[in-house]
Amino acid sequence: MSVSPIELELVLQEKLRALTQSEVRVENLQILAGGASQEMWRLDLHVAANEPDGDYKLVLRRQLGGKIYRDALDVWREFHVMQVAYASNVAVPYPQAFLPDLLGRPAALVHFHPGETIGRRLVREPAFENARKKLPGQMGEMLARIHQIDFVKHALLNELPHPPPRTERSPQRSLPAQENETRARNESESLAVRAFVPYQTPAQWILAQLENNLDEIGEPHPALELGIRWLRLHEPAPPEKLALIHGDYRIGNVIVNADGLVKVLDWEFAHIGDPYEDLAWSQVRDWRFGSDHLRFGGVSQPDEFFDAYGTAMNLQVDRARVHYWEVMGNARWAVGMLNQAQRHLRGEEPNLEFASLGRRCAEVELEILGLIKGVG
Amino acid sequence: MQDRPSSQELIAAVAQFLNRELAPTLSDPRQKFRALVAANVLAIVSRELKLGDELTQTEWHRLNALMGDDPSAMLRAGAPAENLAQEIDVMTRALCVRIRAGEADDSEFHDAVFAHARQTVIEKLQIANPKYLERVLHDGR
Repeated sequence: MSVSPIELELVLQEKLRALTQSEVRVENLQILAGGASQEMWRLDLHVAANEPDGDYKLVLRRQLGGKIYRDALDVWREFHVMQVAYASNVAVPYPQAFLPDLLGRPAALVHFHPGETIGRRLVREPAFENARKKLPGQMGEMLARIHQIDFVKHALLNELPHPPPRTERSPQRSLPAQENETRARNESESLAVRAFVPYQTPAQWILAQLENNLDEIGEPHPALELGIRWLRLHEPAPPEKLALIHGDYRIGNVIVNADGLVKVLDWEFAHIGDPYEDLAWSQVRDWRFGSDHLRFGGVSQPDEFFDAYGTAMNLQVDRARVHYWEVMGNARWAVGMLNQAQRHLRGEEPNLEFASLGRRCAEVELEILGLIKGVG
Repeated sequence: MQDRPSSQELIAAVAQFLNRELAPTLSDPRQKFRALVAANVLAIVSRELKLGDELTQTEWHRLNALMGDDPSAMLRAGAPAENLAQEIDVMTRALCVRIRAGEADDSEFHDAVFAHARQTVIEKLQIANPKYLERVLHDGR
């Protein structure tokens, strides 16, 4: 449930006065269509002490109750990832300030940028025809920048979810030895012993989460189980290198104007994992917004996106791996939909849209069966 | 026996109010979207009232054929729909355990499980989103 704008304005003004040690004015507070775990507000801030440059156009992101995925970042960690991305030359809104307690919940202020984020409009409206031509190349190149971020140097490994060491219950493949050693060497010294502990592969890690998550929900979903089983049986060789994964990289989570990509938003699912997870996510049918025949986000065929990424990373994108991770993306989204419905059903975040997602899971399950039929 | 309007007619009346009267007056796009979502949810409920019992019967029979030799299968045809739903739940849980244990990885059982899972998902979409179902099946799935 959202708070009232008047209450929010007063409290925000008070907090920002303390933070900036200046008179401030919060104006034009307006609620925006929200993210999965956050409430979003648009606002103008005037800071008297910074005149004549004291005007800021900002977006406030405030934590909601419950989470779509257990591993979703809280507002603070998302804020930190955005700081790192900003410093690494990724097009991300400048993270201006973090507020640990705004009416009982953490919140972050980031710069506002004009442009379109609504997927349905981006794939359809004539005004974005030029943007649709440019987006695949721009988004491929930008994803490479994200994957090239040195997450160890920026001390993100311990802060972000990452594949855990293998336990007795997670046999089969492990990451290449060299990768394990590098990772362990760079983790805090107390964890150096991990150099000898094999890690779960990113795929096995996610699959275990999905299975546990399904068990917690407690509804039987045979189609989804078939998908997860297929993913267990068809796992490709583990990635040569792990990367900082955005976790929700698709049309709908980027600001777009007539010239294409402006900024990359929604970092709450960032984690350490397999780069193909991000490469495949934009192909998931639900993120084509009705333009199903255009596999890259309803915008184009994916070739240009893959080429731009491959050129920037100096590699050739492996389509079989993309297909595997597209199935994974659909499985993850199906479980995400069930989780959103649960957040409503458990009373964590009473919300009609979340409730209705429970009945949309079947759409994604049908897609999963279509993708795995007759493959491998 | 209740007077008219019937439950279906009442649902249709509320959906019409949300779509045609309420939504156009809402200036907050978020609230407007929710009003449309609410109307869509009512359409789901309406289709479920119409088709739900029959689809439950169909699913129960299909599951029995698939899981006939499974201890979870309780062959009691003609039971009330509520009991059928419970039995479907029990048998489907047993099926999910078998899939995860790798018992449906190959052979004829795999094909039968796959066909059942697909048909069940299709039947859910006949209620939840028939337009989507038509579009995707048309696509060659």
